[in-house]
Amino acid sequence: MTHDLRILYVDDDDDIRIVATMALQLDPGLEVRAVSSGQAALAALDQDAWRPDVILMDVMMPGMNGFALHDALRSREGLGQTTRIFMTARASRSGFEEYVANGAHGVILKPFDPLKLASEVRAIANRPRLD
Amino acid sequence: MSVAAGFRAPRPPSLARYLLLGLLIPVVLIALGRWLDGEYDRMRQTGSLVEQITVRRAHALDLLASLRKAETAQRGFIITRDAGFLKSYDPSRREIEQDLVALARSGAGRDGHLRLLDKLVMAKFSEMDEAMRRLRLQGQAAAIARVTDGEGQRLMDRIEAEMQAIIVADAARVARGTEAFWSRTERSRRVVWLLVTLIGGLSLAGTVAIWITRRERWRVMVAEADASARNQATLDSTSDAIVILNPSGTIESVNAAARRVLGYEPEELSRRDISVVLDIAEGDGCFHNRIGLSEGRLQTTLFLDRSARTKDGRMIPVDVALGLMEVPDGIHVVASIRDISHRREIERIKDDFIATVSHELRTPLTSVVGSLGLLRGGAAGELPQTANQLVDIAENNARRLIRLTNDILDLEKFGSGQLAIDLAPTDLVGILRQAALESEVPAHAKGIRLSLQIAQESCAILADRQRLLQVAANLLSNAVRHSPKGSTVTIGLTVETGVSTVRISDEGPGVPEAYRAHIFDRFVQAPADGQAGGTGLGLAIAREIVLRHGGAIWVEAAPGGGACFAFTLACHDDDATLSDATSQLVRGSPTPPLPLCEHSACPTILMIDDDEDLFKVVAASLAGEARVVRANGIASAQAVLEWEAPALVLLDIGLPDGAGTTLLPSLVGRDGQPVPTIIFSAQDSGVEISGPVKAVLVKSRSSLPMLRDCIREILSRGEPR
Repeated sequence: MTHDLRILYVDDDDDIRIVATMALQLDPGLEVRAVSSGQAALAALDQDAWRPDVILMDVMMPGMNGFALHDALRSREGLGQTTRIFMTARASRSGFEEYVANGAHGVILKPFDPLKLASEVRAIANRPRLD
Repeated sequence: MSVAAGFRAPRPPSLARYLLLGLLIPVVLIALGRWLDGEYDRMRQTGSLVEQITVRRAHALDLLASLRKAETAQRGFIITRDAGFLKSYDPSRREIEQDLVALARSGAGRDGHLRLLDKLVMAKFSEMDEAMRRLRLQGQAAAIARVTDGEGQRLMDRIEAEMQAIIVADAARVARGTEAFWSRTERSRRVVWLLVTLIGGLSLAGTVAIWITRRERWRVMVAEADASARNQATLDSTSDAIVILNPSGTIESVNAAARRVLGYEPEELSRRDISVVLDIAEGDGCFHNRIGLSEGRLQTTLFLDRSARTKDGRMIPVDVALGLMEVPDGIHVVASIRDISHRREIERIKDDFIATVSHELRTPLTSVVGSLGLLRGGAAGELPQTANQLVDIAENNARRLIRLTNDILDLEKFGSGQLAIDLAPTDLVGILRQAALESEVPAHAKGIRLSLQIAQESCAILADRQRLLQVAANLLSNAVRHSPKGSTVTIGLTVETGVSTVRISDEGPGVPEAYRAHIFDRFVQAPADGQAGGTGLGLAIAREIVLRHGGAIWVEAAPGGGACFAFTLACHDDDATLSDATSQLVRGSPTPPLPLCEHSACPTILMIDDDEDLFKVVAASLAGEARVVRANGIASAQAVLEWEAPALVLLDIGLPDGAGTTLLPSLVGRDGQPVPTIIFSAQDSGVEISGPVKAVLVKSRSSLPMLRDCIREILSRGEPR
C-alpha cells in the first residue's frame, strides 16, 4: 500500500490517541505515527530519517505543551515545509486566531468527527500557503 | 442624579435685634438716673428752703429783740434823761437794718410783708426819734405825752403782727415743702424698689435665658457629636473608600477604608486633587463640567472598571459611584471607590474554572464520540441493528453533552463581555443556505423536508458570519427537533427597505403562549423540549448574538400552528450603504449606548403599543440603559401616566381603543412640560415632527437599531421635559 501523506500525531491522552489514529487510518493514503508526548515526538524525529508531512499535536500536554513543541519543531532543519496542525478541546471558534498567530497552519477542534478527521487534515495540508 | 436633600441653613442670630435690646437697657437706666437726679435736686431745694426759713426766723426774732432793746433804751432816756440809756440805741438800729437786709436776702416778704415791715420799722424809729426830739426841744412832759399817746405801741403791735404773718407764711411753705419732700421720697422709694425688682427679674430672666441657650447648645452639640459619630462609624465601617470632593475637585475628607484601598493616610490625601488617585474627570475646564455635573444633576453616577492609583504606584481596578452633597460652600461630590480586584480575581478563577471544566469534559467526550463514530462508520465491521441503534443513542447524547459544554462556555463569554462580535460584510442568503445544508443530515434522519423560501440571490449584511450561522443552525435544529416525522421546516427571508427578516417555522406543536415571554431565557424550555435533546441555552445565545448585531428576535405562531422563530437584521441593499455602514463601523457607533444605570435610576420609557412581543424586544434591547414600561391602549396609558413620569414615550397609532394621536396633548410630565415622543407605528400616521414629537418611525421600515439610536439620541440630549 502506498502512502501519500505522512502524519506524526502527538497526544498524551491514550484513548484519544487510539481513536484519532484509527480515524486517520480510515484513509488508506495516510501513514500515521502516534506518540504520547512532545519529547517522544522530538526523540522520534532525532532517531529516525522518517520525516512527516504533517504534525498533528494536542495543545494541553504535561511537560512540553503543544506551543513549546511547535516552537521546537519550527527551529529544526528539514521541517520548514511540514504542516503544523493543533488539536484542542480548549478553544471555541473565536480562539483560532491565537493558534494561527503562533504559526500553526490549522486547528482541529475536539471533539472531532472521526469519519471526517482524515479529510480535514488533508484539506489543511493541501491548502496553499505563503511560507 | 440630583442633589439629595436640599440643604437649609438655619438663620444666624440677628445682630441688629441684640444691639437694639442692648441699647434699650442703658437708655432706660439713663432716663431713670436723670429722673432720680431731678428728685435729688428737688429734695435738696426743700432742705435749703427749710434752712433759709430757719435763718429768717432767727433774723425776725433778732429784729424784734433789737427793736425792743432800742425802745427800752429810748424809754429809759426819756424817763431818766440819762444819755447812758442811748448807748445801745444806735447799735440796735444798725442790727435791725442788717436783719432787714438779711431778711430781704432770704426772700422773705415776697408777698409784701417785708416792705410793710420795713416801713413800720422806719415809722417806729421816726416815732421814737420824734419823742426824743420833743424831749430835747419841748421837755420831758411833751416827750412822755408822745410816748404814752399809744402810737409807738400800735406800731410795735403791727410790727409783731407782720412778723407773725411772715413766720406763719414761712411755716406754711415749710409744711408744703416738707409734704412734697415726703411724697417725693415715697415715690422715689417705690421707683427704686420697682427698679430693684425689675433689674432683679431681668437678671433672673437673663440667667435663665443664658442657661436655656447653653442647654440647647449642649443638646445640639451632643446631637451633632452623635450624628457625627454615627456618620463616621458608617463611613469607616464600609469597605469602600469614600472621598468627598469640593467644587474644585480637591479632596476634602476620606474615610478609614481609603487607607486600606488606596494606601494613603487620610491627611496625606487632604487638599489634593482627585486625579492623584483616580481619573474620573479628565479634560480641561471646571471640575463640575469635567465630571458631568450640570443643573444639580450628574450625567453618570457609575464609573465601572476604572483604575485607581495606590500610594505605592500600583493600579487597582475599581468601580466608582458618585453622589452629590449640597452644603453652603457649593455642591460637593461624594465618590465611593470600590476595590474590585477580588471580584476580578474571582471572575478570572471562574473563567479559568469554566475553561478547565469545558476542556476536561471535552477530552473524554472526544474519545467517546470518536469511538462511537468509528463504530457507526464500520471501523469494527458491520454492527447488528440493535447495536447500531444503541450506538446512535450513545453518540447523540454524547454530542448533546458537547453542545451543552460549548453553550455554557459561549454564554459565559457573552456574560463577561469577552466574546467579541467581528462584524464584516457578508451574505445572509449564503449563511442561511449553509445552515440548511448543515441541518440536512439530522432532518433527513427524521424524514423532515427543509424548504428554503428565499427569493433574493443575496442579501448584504454586516455581521459575524460564524455567529449568525450559529443562530440559524440553532433555530433550525430546534425546528427539526420539534417537528413531527415527515413534516416540513421552512426557512424564509423577506427584505423590506433596510430590514431583513428571517423566519424559521415548523409544523410542530408550537410554543405555548405562556412560554413565549421566557423562551429566550437561560434554561427555559417548553414542556416537551427536555426530552427532545435541547440544552436550554441555545435560544439565550441566539438572542445575545442577534441583539449584538442590533437586531431583534422573537417567537410567533406559524400559520400552520407550529412555532415560528424570527429575527431581523439591518440589510444593506447595495454596496454603497454597506460601505457606509462599514466605514461607520470603523469610526465607531454614531450613537453610543447610554450609560449603564441601576434599575431604579434608569430613565423610564413608556411604550404605548398593543404588540407585546415588540415591547419585549424593545425592552430587551435597552436593558441596562432604560426601563421600558408598557401600556396597551389609550386608557391604560392614561392610568400609567398617573404614577409614572416617563422621560420618553413610544407611541403606536393604531391602538385597540382609538388612535394614538389623541393621546398627544395629554402626554405631559409632572412639570407640565410635554414628554418627548417617538411615533412608532405600522402605518403612515401623517404626524409631523414638531413640538413633543421628536421622530416618526414606521415599524416595517424601522429596524430596531434605528429606533434604539433614536431613543439614545433623545435621552442623551436631555430634552427638557
